[in-house]
Amino acid sequence: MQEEEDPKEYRWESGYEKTWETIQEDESGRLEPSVTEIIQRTKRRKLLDREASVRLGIMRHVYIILDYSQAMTEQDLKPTRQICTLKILEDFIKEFHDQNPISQLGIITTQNKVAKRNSDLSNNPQRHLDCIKKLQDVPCRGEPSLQNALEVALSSLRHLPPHTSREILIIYAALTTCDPGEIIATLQKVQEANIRVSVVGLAAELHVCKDITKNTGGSFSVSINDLHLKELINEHLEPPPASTKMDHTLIKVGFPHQINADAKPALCMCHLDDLPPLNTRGYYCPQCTAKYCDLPAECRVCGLMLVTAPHLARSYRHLFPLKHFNEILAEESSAKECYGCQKQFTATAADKNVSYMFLML
Amino acid sequence: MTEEGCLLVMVVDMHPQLAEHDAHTYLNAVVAFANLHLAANVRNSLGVLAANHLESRFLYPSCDGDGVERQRDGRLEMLGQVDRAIERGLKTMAVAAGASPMHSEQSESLLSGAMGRGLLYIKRRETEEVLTKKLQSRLLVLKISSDTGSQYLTYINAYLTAQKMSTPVDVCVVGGECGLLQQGADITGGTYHCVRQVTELLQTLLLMYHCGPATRRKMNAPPPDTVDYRAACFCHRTLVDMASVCSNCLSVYCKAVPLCTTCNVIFQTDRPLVRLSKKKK
Repeated sequence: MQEEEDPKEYRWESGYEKTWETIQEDESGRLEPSVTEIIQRTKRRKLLDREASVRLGIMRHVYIILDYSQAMTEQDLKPTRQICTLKILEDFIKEFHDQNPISQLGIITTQNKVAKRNSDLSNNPQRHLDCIKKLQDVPCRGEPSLQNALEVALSSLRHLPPHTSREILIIYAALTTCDPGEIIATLQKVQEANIRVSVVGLAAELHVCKDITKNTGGSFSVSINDLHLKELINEHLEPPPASTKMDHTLIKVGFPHQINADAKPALCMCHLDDLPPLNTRGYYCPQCTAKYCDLPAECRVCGLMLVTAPHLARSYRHLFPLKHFNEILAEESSAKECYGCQKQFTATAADKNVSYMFLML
Repeated sequence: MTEEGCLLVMVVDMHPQLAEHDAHTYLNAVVAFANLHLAANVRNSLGVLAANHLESRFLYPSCDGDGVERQRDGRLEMLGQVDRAIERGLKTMAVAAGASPMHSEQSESLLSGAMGRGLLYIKRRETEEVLTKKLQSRLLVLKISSDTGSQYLTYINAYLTAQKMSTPVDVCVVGGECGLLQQGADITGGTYHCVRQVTELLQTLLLMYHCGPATRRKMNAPPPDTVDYRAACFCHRTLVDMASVCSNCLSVYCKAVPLCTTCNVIFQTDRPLVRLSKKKK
């Protein structure tokens, strides 16, 4: 829960909000429609806040830092915080690679006062999913070290080209951190490297986390329950606004084609370890004709990024977002049914007689 | 074998270019296929949309619905109702289109908008479904008009939405090939076929598009052609193999440009700046 921005007032000084009065029963005595309406209204308000003219960092390199300390064995999220978080991260990884096809993800865990890189930055979701599966058997021990984790992430994010958006997402459950030196020095380095740090807390708000996120332009929230945690983590699926220091360049990409007719069976470069049988299906890099089963991929031979046009088009919804909808009552409008789905607007419909045109993307 | 009922939404292209082909055969094929779908399984349901260069319109179910009439000519009442609704809607559309003159650049039908409305109708039926089982649905697009590529973004949005809803989009093109719709069928897991003459249309529809996605897997169809997934560069609109992409707005350029035309951002290049030689006095 976010603290109030105003540090002067305490909650007993100002009036308390009577939150129970906002929920009202409808004609049939059910509470559910008013609750769903409140949820929809908050979603719409969030959409209104996003402006179209803000530059977004589309090519993202995100490191997820997982706290694997003793605090993760607490059972306030069922069955334990560790298992609950790993489950949510599995869905997050799949959605992330779906919505950001040219972005890369990496996983770092910290326990016993050290930090370890479990999965390098890559855009192959399978690798991360395997890593998460292995992490389910690793026990949580000791104390976390925020500085070590940030140093590990920094060491690889620092060398990336400047046109990418570098982010760190920390999932922190402990209330302490055990660092070898001054964490302020690491914060300076993180700020200089232009990295955006966001923290999702599971226990309580920590001043050091709030400091890091405020100085780097990230977000900090503490989750109330598991649904809220899922929502907070999924907020990071959307590309964040780009920082002003980001340079923009032209990135060379290749659009591979499939040759089915006269292709010769060949090894694919993504499965060099398991060596499946030779086949002709796959995509051939336009620069070096190496074969890959799945796109998007980065060619291991020549370093060219291989994508298809629909992958680039997936990011267009952020660049060309929908215009905002106006809410009008059904009595005022002349239409008798919804333009999109032909649903009649009747007086007994549970959607409260509002007429919208909604398109989901 | 009894299948689960399937909701089929047909998007029919009614561009005035239809006059070059045989409009009568085309519409006969469409109506016959719609009737077949409804008659094949009692749980099947149907939606029909038509699109021309000016508008898209829901033909069935029609908003000004007449009540179910008594049986005429010995058929199922619903089939007769479908025929009459389609006929009425098409007449209104043709009259409206004839009233305004056609410009030369309106050579494309607004199929992408009609696809969007079809997907919305599917979504509405899914939420209204009383039983807890998921409603199986698919979208069938029939196209005769030529392509201009101006609706690329709307098409891609429709395909990605259909992919998220796991709704296959089948495409049947009459006349020439259409790469954009072929990509859509590939992304969503539908079938694409190009028919040369309108007279072959009904046969193709019956053979390839009648069965639902579950049965289609059991049919030994020939493997689909390779789909051309290359992007078109923004400066020449030609398909390219390798291109440079702006890191801010993802616009595709075939060669290096100093400034992005879409988002007006100046690119940092690695080339050193040219130094003017100092004049020696």
